[in-house]
Amino acid sequence: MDVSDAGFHKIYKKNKHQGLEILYDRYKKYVYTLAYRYAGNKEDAMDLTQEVFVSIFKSLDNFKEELSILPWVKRITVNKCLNFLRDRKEAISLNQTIDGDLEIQDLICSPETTESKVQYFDTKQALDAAIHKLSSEERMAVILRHMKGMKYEDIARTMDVPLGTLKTLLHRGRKTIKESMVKDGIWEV
Amino acid sequence: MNCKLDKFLLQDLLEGVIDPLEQLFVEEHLKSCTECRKELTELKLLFWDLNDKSNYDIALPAELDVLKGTILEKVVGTVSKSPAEVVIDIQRKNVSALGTFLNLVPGVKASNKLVKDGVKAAPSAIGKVSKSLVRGTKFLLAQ
Repeated sequence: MDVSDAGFHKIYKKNKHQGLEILYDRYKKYVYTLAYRYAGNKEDAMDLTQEVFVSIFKSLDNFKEELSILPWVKRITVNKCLNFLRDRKEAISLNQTIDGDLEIQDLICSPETTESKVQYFDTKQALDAAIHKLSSEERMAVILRHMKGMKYEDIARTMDVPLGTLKTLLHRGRKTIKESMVKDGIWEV
Repeated sequence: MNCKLDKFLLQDLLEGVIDPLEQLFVEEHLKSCTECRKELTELKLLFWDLNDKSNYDIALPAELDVLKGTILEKVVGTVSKSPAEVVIDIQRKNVSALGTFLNLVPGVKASNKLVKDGVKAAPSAIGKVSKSLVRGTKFLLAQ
């Protein structure tokens, strides 16, 4: 079911439960895919999705009807994602390196053989891994620009950073991704 | 890596956010610089992969629909109380939270003790002051 923002507010006033359900169905894909790309795994993405929607539902009563909903949803999602990793900095990451180069996850036994890993390391996986190496702000900027196809001005507004800062984040992020893709030999140039 | 050109300009060129003057300059530069041409090729491949939506395809997990029920229960469940009850709850919480910050402020207890001691000591202090005042005036009168 797809209804315009105005239609949504009408339904929401009549039946709160139904209104929230519509809102959830309409934006779940947006929120989840962004959270997944940002957090890098399903569990965290689910946690984030829940946090985002609880926050949206709770503040919906104070939401001004004349504003459109999508930019607001984007903003909440982005904020929750950025805060999520900030709060989690204390936790040990499997990507954390010890003794110089070795990552913790390398020490854990894997059912995959090295051979199969190398064979199937395709563009998608390489891109995934490369995006995950970025700092949280760089990653968010790259995701919003390239995965969600947002305009520079919109991203800057959503992330609440100046346009110049956003450009720097994108420049640095792309540079890191490119270096990582070249290192993985994804493009034969 | 001898070329001094700011490589970020190449990204801006591909994104179409480059200043027109800089664009002229970069395009002219590319004609003569193999290093930058190679960099540009790599960047084009990067943009191609970055903008390829199929690289981001993921299946939405079925749990997402279960989550809807959980969240709705959580949110709609809390507001099923009457508005008056909610307001009273909030007020009660506010009142009990009002003083708790004092427990966390350093030095509050110590300064309370100091003030108490100070008040106790005050009479003798006033006595001393007035005595010295009297002594002072006597001295002045003698002069």
